[in-house]
Amino acid sequence: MSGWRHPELGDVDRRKPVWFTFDGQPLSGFAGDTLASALLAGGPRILGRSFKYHRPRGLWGLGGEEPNAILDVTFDGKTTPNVRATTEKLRNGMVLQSVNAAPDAARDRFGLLDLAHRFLPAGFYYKTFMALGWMRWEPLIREMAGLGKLDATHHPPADTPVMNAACDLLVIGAGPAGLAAAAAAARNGRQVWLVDEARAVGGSLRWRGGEIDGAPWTDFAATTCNAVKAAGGRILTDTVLWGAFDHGSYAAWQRREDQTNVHWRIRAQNVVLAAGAIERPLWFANNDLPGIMSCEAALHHLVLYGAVAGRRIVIGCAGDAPYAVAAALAKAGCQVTLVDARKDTPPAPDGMRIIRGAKITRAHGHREVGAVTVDGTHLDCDTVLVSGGFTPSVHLHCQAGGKLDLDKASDSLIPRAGTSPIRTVGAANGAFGLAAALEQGHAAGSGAAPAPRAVDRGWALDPIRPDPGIKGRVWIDPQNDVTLKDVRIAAQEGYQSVEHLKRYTTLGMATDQGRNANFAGLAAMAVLTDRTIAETGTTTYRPPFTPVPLSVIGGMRRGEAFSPPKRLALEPQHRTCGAKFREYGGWLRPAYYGEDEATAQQDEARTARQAAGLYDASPLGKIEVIGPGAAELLDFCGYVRMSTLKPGRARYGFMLSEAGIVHDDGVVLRLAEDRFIVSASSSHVGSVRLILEEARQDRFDPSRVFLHDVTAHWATLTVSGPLARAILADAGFSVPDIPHMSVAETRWKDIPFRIARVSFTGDASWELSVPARYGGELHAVLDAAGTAHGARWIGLEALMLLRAEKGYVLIGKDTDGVTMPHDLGWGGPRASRQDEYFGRRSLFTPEANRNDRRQLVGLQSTNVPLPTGAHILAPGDTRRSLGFVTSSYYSPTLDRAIALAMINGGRSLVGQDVTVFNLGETYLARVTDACAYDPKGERLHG
Amino acid sequence: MQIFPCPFCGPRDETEFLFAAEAGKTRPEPAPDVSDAVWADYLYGNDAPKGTAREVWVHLTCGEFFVMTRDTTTREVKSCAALPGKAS
Amino acid sequence: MVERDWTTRTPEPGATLEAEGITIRCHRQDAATLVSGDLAAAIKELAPSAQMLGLLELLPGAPFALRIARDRALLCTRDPLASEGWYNGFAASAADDLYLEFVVTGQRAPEVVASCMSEQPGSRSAATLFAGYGALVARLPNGVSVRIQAPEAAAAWAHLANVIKVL
Repeated sequence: MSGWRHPELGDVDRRKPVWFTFDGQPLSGFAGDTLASALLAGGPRILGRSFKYHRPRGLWGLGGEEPNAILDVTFDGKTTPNVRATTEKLRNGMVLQSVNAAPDAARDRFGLLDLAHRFLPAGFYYKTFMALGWMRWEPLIREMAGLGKLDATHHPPADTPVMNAACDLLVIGAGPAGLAAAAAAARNGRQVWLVDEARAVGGSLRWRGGEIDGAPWTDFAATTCNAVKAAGGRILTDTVLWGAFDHGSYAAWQRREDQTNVHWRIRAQNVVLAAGAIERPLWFANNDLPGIMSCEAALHHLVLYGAVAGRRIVIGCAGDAPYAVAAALAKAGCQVTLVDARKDTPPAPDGMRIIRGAKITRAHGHREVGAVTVDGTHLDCDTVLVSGGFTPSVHLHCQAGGKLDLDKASDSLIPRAGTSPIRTVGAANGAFGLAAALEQGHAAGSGAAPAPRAVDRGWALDPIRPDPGIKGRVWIDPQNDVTLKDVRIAAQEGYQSVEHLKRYTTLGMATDQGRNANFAGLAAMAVLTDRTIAETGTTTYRPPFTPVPLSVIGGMRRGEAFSPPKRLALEPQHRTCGAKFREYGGWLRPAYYGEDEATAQQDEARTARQAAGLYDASPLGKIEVIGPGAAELLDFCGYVRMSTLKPGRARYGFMLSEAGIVHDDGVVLRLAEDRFIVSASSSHVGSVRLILEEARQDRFDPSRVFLHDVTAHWATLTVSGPLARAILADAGFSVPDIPHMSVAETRWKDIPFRIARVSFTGDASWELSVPARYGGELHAVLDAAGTAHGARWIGLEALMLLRAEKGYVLIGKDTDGVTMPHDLGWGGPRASRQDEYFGRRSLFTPEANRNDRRQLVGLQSTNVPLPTGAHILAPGDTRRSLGFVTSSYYSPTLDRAIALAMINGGRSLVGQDVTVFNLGETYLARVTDACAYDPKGERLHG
Repeated sequence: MQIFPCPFCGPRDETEFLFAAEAGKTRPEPAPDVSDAVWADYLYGNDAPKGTAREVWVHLTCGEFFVMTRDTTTREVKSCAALPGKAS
Repeated sequence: MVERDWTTRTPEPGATLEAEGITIRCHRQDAATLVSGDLAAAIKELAPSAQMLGLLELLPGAPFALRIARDRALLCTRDPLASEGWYNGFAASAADDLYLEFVVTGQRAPEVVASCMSEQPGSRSAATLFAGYGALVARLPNGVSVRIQAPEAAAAWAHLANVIKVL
């Protein structure tokens, strides 16, 4: 521990100590600290271990770019892995744990791996660990990979709301450039949203300070915020704008004090990116030792938190920026030595020692830095602060499709104007001085008046590059342990494109996503392959800009809210009757009534055949097809013609896809010459309606036929069975005596009342429909009358059994993505229709004409139902399947097992025995007709 | 979140829309006159252009099918048009 | 089989959700009719004084029409449709119980709306997605009226109950 807490500096509240532990060690900080500042001021230096070699790592940076201080944080009993210490607020009672170290960062036994580093260069796993097969070693290596540990009990609540917003001008970053843009735009009356990931506006002004228009920068910030609000805009702090998407769509993650996160979806056609720049490291031997930090980060922690990085500090640089840092540290009481690569430098602050025209070539120390070698001179120190230049944070510009160019003055890649919808200003645009930032921001806000003024401290710099000739191990990517030598190996082995470099060495693939490594890697590869940086290129930027918790993106649609089924209007009534619910075709429906499913299914089916069954058929689609063109539309869209249906009658039909595949089946009711109701399967109402709409709009005259999906308006209860007629009479309905497959509209107690004689059970059935608000009354009346006749409410499980006894198919259960109507025994329209209909041509392809197509049949076996999905074997060939069981039940009606199956050439096998196979067991079965009960359908007429 | 234009409703979030088909494909008929190859090409052959594409989409909340011209590489939406015969 | 317990319920008419500055109340429609085709003719015949409304337009008292599509609207009336089917130039179907109406009012109602809908310019159609559910959305003096199809009302109501807790 070489950092210390300054007695006065910083915004922390020294009256409020905050207690926490790190790797078991009790420590303290103050209210207002981040984890990083508290650890810097009073904790150990070694905060983690590097990914591959397990070398000790210490704090490097000041924000989201932090590559080393990654910790598992336990708070309030819940552990969150891989938290960056620089962006997390310190709270009382936090337990911090280092990652990728056993047992902890200080004593990691895997540190021994570093001794074997010669055998573990980049891409070692492509060349080694092949004896005994890679999979022998992979689990071991995988065990050692990864950083923090997931707490399996920590399920973040689904409590992040989405907020949609639109604004005139979105300004990303509230540093000097962003504030200037917002101020100018707000004064022009524009509605500005100003977003910053820090807890307060100001950006680098917060630790650099500075005067704007002759007054403290805080004045400028305050008037800007007021102007923004007055013009109807908004300021969001603690908010990361992390993604640029299509058509001016942006995503942001807002953290709120004592409240949930918010996921913002912001629409803005005008965007200013003022996201600043990140300091680059310097490249010398052992430049990864704890105690080597970014200059800017040291100033940030000093000014904002009073956390001082060390006492005997060497600053290595090649530019002007660190001079203010040196001055501040000296004023705080540190002994500072400047090492500037340039011969021509500003004067050293306060007469401190400065070595000009020199570079640090090596850092010394076993577990933390203790000295450096500067061009042959040995300097003792406890802290090294480095500045190798700055890398603009251009991510969002690139996410939005923008291109970059190398700017010589700032030695950085900056946005090429006009290549993205985003305008980049300030340090993010290579303009590192305060005056330049204010000017660029002001211009971007279309400021008419003169830009805010500042005295520029001057940010001259000399380009610095990793020197391929330097001796020793030089880190390019500290988190993923990629060294300069690895870049050389990649170049030698032909991995010279920047995309290959990244993937071969894993450079830039750590949690900092290359913020600290990409430019250096790119520059080193350029030198090694004798190319310019522009020629070498950059990798692709993708959202998110920084890690965003999945719980924020996942939002509130979890658990029950993830994929909620539709609900019946009569659900309360079914619950009162003891229904157990299950999801069927996107609806929550009664599966059975009572306690034991198997018993209930049998009893309900038996009662339905012997007395009567009552069930809720409301989810069945009711798509009204109305108009003089209705019949013509249905003839084209359906496989079975409906134009010949008489008003008052119903007909069963299919809807095919254009590929001839059975998409849905159902009954069509004709109420009038120009009015039909398509009773689509409950799961297919939406898709059937779309098929009808497409034909209506694209093929026919849409002014002659219209579609109304009124499924939810009606509650439908069905009475089925030998006593159904008697029940209806006792219930007091005056039901017209219509035959099976017909429909009538009438009234019941002056309520609209529709009766359809359609059967899904094979017994005489009456489907009774009333507007849903009267469903409860209908239910009560049927319940009373039904009970008096020994009828039962039946659930879907019993219903599926009853229809299977009749060989009635369920689309998607007995049919699949290749089933055509003639496979189901419905070859009539295919043979006889001369007119054009949807899917027609597909029914005559060579595939459709094959005589060994899978066909619907029944299977009779012993009394144990065959497993659904069991395969029917080809005779004499136990490895070839001829098809499979699609539905299988024990039939209480027939007192035996029944099944439906789709078998190649099935209809020609009727009467023959086949072997059925499932998970190692075989069964014997006889192929039968699909209909196992009442084949003549006599019971339909009741 | 892209914004697509419905010719009737105006600009809406892409979640309100569904892709229907590549525009400009005429259904070969009557069936007896159509060869297997022509029918297969109608069903499955798509141009899938890189760049400007004319497509039929449906706006689910109002149910209108329409033609949208957009760039498949930049995702810029160029124009939309009601199906022929639709009044404004 | 591990089955889920569904704890959400379709709200009864009159059910209310409350939070600071937000009240959401569930209403049943008096009556409604889906009309398609010549909408002017439909209104003239079925509800002559009804005004046609697009997205987030101010609701008058009944009768009024919520435009859904180029050629479709929901006519909201006091009394149900007498006769369904094909008229001269338009089609009409009873739709009284197709939708439940959620009325969102209060000082913070705009935040609920911002969470459930994108900001979009005015639209001729009142039909859009509200919290991911198909809905017809109109404006009230102190909030919004959202018509959600009855089978989806339970899920939408539960979602709103959760949202107002965290806004």
